[in-house]
Amino acid sequence: MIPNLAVTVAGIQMRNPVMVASGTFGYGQEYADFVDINRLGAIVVKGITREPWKGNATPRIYETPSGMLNAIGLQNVGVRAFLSEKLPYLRQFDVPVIVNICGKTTQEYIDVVTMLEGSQGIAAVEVNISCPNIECGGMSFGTDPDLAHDLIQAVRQVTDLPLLVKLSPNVTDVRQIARAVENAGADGISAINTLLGMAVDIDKRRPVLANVTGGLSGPAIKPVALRVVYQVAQVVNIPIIGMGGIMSGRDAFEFLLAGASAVAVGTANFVRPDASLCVIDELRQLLQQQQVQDLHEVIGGLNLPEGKRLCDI
Amino acid sequence: MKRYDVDALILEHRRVAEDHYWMRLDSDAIGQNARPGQFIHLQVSSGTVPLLRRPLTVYRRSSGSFEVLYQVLGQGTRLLSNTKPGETLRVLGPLGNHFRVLEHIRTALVVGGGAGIASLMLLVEELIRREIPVIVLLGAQRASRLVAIEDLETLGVDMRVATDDGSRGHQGFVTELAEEVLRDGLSNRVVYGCGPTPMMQALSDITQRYGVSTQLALESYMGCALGVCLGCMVRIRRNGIIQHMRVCTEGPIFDAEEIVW
Ligand SMILES: Cc1cc2nc3c(=O)[nH]c(=O)nc-3n(C[C@H](O)[C@H](O)[C@H](O)COP(=O)(O)OP(=O)(O)OC[C@H]3O[C@@H](n4cnc5c(N)ncnc54)[C@H](O)[C@@H]3O)c2cc1C
Ligand SMILES: Cc1cc2nc3c(=O)[nH]c(=O)nc-3n(C[C@H](O)[C@H](O)[C@H](O)COP(=O)(O)O)c2cc1C
Repeated sequence: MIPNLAVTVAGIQMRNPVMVASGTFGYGQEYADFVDINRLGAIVVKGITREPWKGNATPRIYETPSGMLNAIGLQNVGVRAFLSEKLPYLRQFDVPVIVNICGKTTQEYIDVVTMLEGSQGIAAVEVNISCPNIECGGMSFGTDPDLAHDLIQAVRQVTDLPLLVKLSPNVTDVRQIARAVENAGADGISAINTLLGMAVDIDKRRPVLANVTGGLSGPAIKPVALRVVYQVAQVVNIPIIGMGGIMSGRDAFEFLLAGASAVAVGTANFVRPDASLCVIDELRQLLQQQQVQDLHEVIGGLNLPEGKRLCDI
Repeated sequence: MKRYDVDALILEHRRVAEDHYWMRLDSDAIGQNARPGQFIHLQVSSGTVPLLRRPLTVYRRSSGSFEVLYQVLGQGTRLLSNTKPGETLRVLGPLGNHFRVLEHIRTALVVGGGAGIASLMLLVEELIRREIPVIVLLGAQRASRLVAIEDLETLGVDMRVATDDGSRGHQGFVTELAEEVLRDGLSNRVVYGCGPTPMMQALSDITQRYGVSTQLALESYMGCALGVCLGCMVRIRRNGIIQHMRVCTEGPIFDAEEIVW
């Protein structure tokens, strides 16, 4: 019996729960030699802003044990070029396209969403309120419940597209932010974005990254990501897309149990271009081994130790 | 051009100089398709440390296999140096742009510093095939770290060597040899170079002074190698504007005069 992997998350119908994470799969085309895109659950494209962004100075990436730091600075082609040059390519596939967006002000977010609104072939918008790289932008929205609430409420008013909100783990209590964006009308939550980190070069006595700090991703952050997904799942009723260090079907399974309805594969795409497909195949195998007939049987299906509840974590 | 991600069997692997190794891998896809200066992205660990792959240029190729020549620098290349014939490695490639050999070129000067010669060997072979006279200049810290000498000798090219300590050839920098050659002022000459950044920068200064067109193979810390992560950018001045360009896809070969060091 082959388990049913299909799932609908925030109105996005997916043939399986495995997406590719924003910024790690470009606009799809770059990976077409390696991945049959029609097999993916969904594609989340690189973060888009109202105007093209040039990104940060170099060095922008650095490898750390089981992970990497990046301070790309959201370099992207801007929403106009995205619509005219990137989106048409993605329309040929039978896969939901989720557009990740970012901005420095509420108005910038509103403008990007307004421009996406009328276009064919967009399944949902993922609002990045958590990018740690932009001095005055993303970070502040994602770390304050009121700012996050007001931003999502403003964006909600200008679009009927499903809204996913991507949370930053760099906060004291992620549950407050999660509740705030749910109240503001979010349809789902993506968690997590990268963890703020840093690397030091002792010979030059300088930070390795030109931006000084950067976002940590990869297997190193998986325990943190699982904890965040678990915590958020306790306090919201909207679905969660779990991500952070997923390299295998087993990792994906862990996120589903912790409360995610779907997952995204990020940095693993850099290690194996076909990582997302490997995750799908292995997840299917594991579910089959455990005689699971439908994915929904395992979502949030964690058995907690006797007496352990939310207040204990 | 199509790129492949394949398991490649290690056919031969040996130390060829102090801290330098040479390896031949079984792969039709890369052996047949790699062009001069193109590279592969190699998985050096089956675990998560190091997590990312390591870029290495295709040193030579044949229909069924290809070779790499590399220097042990850190953890990744150290692990790689411990792999043995019979094991397989995941290889992504061929990647990047390639050296351009234009029709009007009369003579070529190829300048390699350290393991940089690894990026230039396929080019030297192509120049010879196209009967373009070529001089190869090879630099290293000392004689024990010189690589590719025998392979170049087999090709019968005009080769000159410089070592920092004078243990072989000219004592000094390989860029000094380059300047010596350029002084004769021949026209329709092209310079190709690869090596440590300070060497390439010095080479670029010299060749621009002599007004000689120069292509350099740049290195950079690399993530995906497919143009997605935007981590490996260098600054390039093109059409009067300075822009970030990806070493992995718009490079690794750039015109020296465009590079903003
Ligand atoms: C397109 C391309 C082609 C290359 N071809 C070859 C080749 O044919 N032969 C060869 O010997 N090397 C080549 N290199 C360089 C090679 O990829 C690095 O030496 C290697 O990745 C180092 O990995 P490591 O884990 O051993 O060192 P790490 O532990 O990653 O680093 C050790 C030290 O090396 C420095 N370093 C790491 N990567 C680079 C880099 N890309 N450029 C400059 N310094 C670096 C680090 O800053 C650190 O100081 C190439 C690089 C690129 C981008
Ligand atoms: C190079 C790089 C670029 C990224 N760009 C974006 C982005 O544009 N927008 C965004 O919301 N997240 C971005 N992310 C974060 C990822 O989508 C993901 O949330 C994070 O890396 C954790 O997952 P992982 O450990 O599987 O990579 C980026 C991550 C990396 C490594």
